[in-house]
Amino acid sequence: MVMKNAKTVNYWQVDNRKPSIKEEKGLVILPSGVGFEKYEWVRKYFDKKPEGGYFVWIRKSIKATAKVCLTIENIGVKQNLENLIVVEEGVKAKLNGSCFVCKKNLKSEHVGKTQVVLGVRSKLIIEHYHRWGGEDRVKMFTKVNVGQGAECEIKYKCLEPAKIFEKTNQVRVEDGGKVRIETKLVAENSDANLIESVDLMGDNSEAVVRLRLVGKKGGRIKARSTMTGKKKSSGHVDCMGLVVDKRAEIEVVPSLKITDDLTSLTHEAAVGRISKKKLEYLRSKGLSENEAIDLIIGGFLE
Amino acid sequence: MALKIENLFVRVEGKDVLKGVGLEVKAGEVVALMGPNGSGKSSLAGAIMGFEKYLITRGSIKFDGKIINKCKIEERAKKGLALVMQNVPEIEGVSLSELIRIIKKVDVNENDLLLGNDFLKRDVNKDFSGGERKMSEMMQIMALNPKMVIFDEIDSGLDVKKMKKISLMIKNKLVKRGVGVLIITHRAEILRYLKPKIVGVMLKGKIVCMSDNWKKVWNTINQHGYEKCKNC
Repeated sequence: MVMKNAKTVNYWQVDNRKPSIKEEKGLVILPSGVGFEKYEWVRKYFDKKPEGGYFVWIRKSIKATAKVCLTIENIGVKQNLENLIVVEEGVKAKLNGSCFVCKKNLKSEHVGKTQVVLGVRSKLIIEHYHRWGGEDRVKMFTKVNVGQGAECEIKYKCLEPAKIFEKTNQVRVEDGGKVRIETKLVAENSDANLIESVDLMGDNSEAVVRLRLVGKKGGRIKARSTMTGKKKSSGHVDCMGLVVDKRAEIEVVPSLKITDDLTSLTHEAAVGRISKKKLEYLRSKGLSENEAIDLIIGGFLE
Repeated sequence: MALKIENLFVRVEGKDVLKGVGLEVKAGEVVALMGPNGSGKSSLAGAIMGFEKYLITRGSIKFDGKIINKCKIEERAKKGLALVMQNVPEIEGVSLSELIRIIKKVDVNENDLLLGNDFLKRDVNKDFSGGERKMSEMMQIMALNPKMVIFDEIDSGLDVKKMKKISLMIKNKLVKRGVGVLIITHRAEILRYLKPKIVGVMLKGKIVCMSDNWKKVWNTINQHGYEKCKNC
């Protein structure tokens, strides 16, 4: 989903131009460089004043979904973003993020380093959509700290891939915190490398990592999900890959580690091709083979 | 509109599973095909629908007077052929209502099938009971508005009440509207409702008996087994 109505977007940056910003009650949105200068406490999250990216400070619960949007319009643009999202104690919020190119073959570069900090008993749902043009390079690093009793849900979806795609998530969950991370990704004539590491550091902390990966023609995906549990925590890693072309590859590696006898971590992983029986079943209802494949992929990524 | 199978030979993984089968189903007619497990009934259904596994080595399948041996599955479906498979796969993440929206040629009144909205929202065939699967398939068949339907053991896994309901649905919503029906079954109960014009018995890839008296055929099978049909 791409932001269709500019008026509803809280932070919109095109290429490396000055962003347009729409603040709302309870919500501070600034370029992260400005946030760095304006608020002393923000500085601990950065090594130096960031040159690009956004700072979202959710101070009070907001009914509307906060929206940030980063787009690339011109050939060869390099976006280097350092983002910070802070949710205050007890606050509940939703954030939609979109990063996309306006045209194919822009050969752009999008590098994003994002820190997400959830205060005690706060709740944040992030829906993050990417759409790339086949020749772009994308590198994302996201560090999430889920505070005591806080809940975080991150849904990431990219159905139109970049040529080179790297995504690293580092998540730390404190006492009673919960996190759910869902990644839906299609690779086609592209390479994707996903690294996920979730540390359940606190008592009774919980995590679910869910990957749905589709390898189309010439798509290669490697996904490594590591979960470490301590102190009565529980977690589940669910990695599923669907290969729909002979020249596609998917490798998933779930890895679990526990350091006490009260923790329970589980995983399931499967990579396979679309079964002929499903295709023939749908074709017998009048769908062409390609329509049947698209329907199965759409359902798999649902 | 008729389905005509002539001298059909079909091979699966190097093994001949159909050896010269001939059969005709005309518009608005019910033809039943009986036979033990492994006799080739489902292979015939799969070959008629054009599933890749079934390699036609000789003979022809004609639909509406035209040979369809080389037609793709979806082309056969578009011509009006439909199959209710014995075992249907789950389609994860695709709701029954979405599938019906995609495939439908005519609107279906779900009240006819007593299927609630909750059922329609469920993923296709996922965690469906035997009865739910059959009702779901019936709904899809009706949405497809076919000219000829092959039911491969539609009665398996159904209690008597549901079987009666589905049988009446086949009769009233399909046969009475001129749709030809080929029904593959092991059981006589469904035949009581559908009263097939012709019943064939298949053994080892051949139709060994064709009769217009399904009760006589069933009594023979019931008393002496399928083998007796060879000499009936």
